[in-house]
Amino acid sequence: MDFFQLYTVGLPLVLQPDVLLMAVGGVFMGITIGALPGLTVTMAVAILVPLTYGLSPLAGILGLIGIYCGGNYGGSVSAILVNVPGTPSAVMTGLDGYPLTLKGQAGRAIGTATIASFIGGFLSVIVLSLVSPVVAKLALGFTSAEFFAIGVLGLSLIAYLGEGSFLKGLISGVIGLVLATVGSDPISGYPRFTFSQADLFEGIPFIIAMIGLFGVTEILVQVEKGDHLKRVNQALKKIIPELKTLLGLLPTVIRSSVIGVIIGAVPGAGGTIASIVSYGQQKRISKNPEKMGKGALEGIAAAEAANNSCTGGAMLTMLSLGIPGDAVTGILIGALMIHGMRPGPILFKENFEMVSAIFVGMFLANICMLVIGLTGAPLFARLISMPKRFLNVAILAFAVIGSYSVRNNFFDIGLMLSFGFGGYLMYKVGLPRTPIVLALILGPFIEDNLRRSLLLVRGDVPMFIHTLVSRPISLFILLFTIFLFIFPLLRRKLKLFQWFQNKDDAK
Amino acid sequence: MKDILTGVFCIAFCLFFWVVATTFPQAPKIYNSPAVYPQSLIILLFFLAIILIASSIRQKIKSSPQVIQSRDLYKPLLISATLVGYLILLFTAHFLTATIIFVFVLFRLLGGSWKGGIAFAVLLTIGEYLVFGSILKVPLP
Repeated sequence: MDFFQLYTVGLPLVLQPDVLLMAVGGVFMGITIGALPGLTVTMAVAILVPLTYGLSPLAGILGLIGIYCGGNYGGSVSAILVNVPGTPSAVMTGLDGYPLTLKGQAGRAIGTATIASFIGGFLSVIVLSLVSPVVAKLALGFTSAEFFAIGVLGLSLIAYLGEGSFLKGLISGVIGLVLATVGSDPISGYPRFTFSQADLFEGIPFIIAMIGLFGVTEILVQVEKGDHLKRVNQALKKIIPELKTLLGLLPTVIRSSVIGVIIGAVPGAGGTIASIVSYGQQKRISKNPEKMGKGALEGIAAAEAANNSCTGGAMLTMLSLGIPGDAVTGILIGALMIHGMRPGPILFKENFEMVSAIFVGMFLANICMLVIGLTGAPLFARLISMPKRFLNVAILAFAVIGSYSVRNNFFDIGLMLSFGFGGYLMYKVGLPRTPIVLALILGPFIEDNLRRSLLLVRGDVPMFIHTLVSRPISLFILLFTIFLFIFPLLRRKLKLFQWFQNKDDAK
Repeated sequence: MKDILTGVFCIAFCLFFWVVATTFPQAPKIYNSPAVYPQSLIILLFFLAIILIASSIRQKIKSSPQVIQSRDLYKPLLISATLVGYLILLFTAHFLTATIIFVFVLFRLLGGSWKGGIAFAVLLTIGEYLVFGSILKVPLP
């Protein structure tokens, strides 16, 4: 396969009218959701997954990817205009963006954020398309031992999604793993924890759990917090910065994009950490570090390029290994599965057209983000001032339709509502929700590969451990997993990043 | 306090799933048994819950106890009740009727006006019906 085939195979598929429409619509919706503080991209993607059933798989997936890319950027709009990040990853953007708004230069700040986001996202797709086929090819030789190790690596996300408490993240993850055992046993086929309910024989559909935990719970939390309006009074002018300014920011954007792609590829690290690291790095090497935090364009560029380039990194592990890089890519795994595809090395072998189309679609999503971001900024500024009750009501209605459409039954609506209310109680007691969903996705995969590996060694546990550590790839993956599990504990001991530990990771 | 509640809930969760798992058939080889994997997870969860309770008690001694914030709790409960009502309504009424009523009630609960509620309920329901039901061919309840 040559370089151009990575894109030419999927290009004709993306140029279908329905696919183009969904990609553009997805980006627009993503920017809108991202710009509204409190509404999460994860929630939007979770609710809309079942509503893509009637579409072609590519149109559905690219619509969701459009929301993902647009949403990551959209958070910067409210961070700049009202100093409330629409997404946690936009927290660093507000540090320099809002001071610029106070100086009457909101348009310039949004323009810089949009262009930096576009370049960051675009570069990350180039890296994604070049690296993921190589990783997938390597993964084709994996045995169940390696896949088990990969599943455990995916679970290491839990260490990062504990919203301040590693222990609570672990508890939430293990609850999810127990719930993932509901349904037929993968070896004997015996129905476990189904209570003679036929709808549970195939297990708990994780799309239903996601809609409940991210959609309904999120709205209940919003309702509890109240409908506070943020008025944007400033007219947005001179959105596109001067060419000289842009060229001056280019090294910052490229450097931050590289940081973002690398951090995005680490399961669980995500856009928030990428933007913090990148901003910190920029401040360290800046010629005018004293200006950062007071309205420096380089601060906005560093944060935005980094958090948007994370999308490519997160998609890299998702597409090539089947491990979600963050909560949204976890849901995208579910979306691919309901359209009959399993992310991972086999996807590259059996459905390369789809993979290539996703690469092209991500380029397209970034271009749409640039155009919509630069031209639609005044509209998004007005949307921030809109009462949230309209969207809250619509989202709850979509959640009901979405959960019904998964298997066309009312049981799933009840299950979704149970997860929604359960998620709200989890929020009240401080248990993170994302690890449950992650465990529901990875649980069956881990159990299946663990038990297959044990079958091969006739239940001899020391032999199983020997198999794991004697294979270089599985050993490397396990060591990396141990590092990922230990790192948050070390980080807390070193009191690093403490100020963002309480931020909601759900976005 | 909320950590202790979480821990107690987890222990109850463990006990329930453990009891159910003991009813699963035993396989000739332990690694083939359908109960072993979930039971291993239940044991792990049980110990994590004990650690959470213990650390919470230790923190309680050190500092003032954490309490569950009950600010405006009634609204989320009302919304949840409305959602359950919507589910019941979907069983008995047509999708359009049930959704118009649901959207209107919810809109009012969230502080919207009567007129706005009626207009939004009708527009959203018809919009959903046309976009999801007719264009995207999503099966509606």
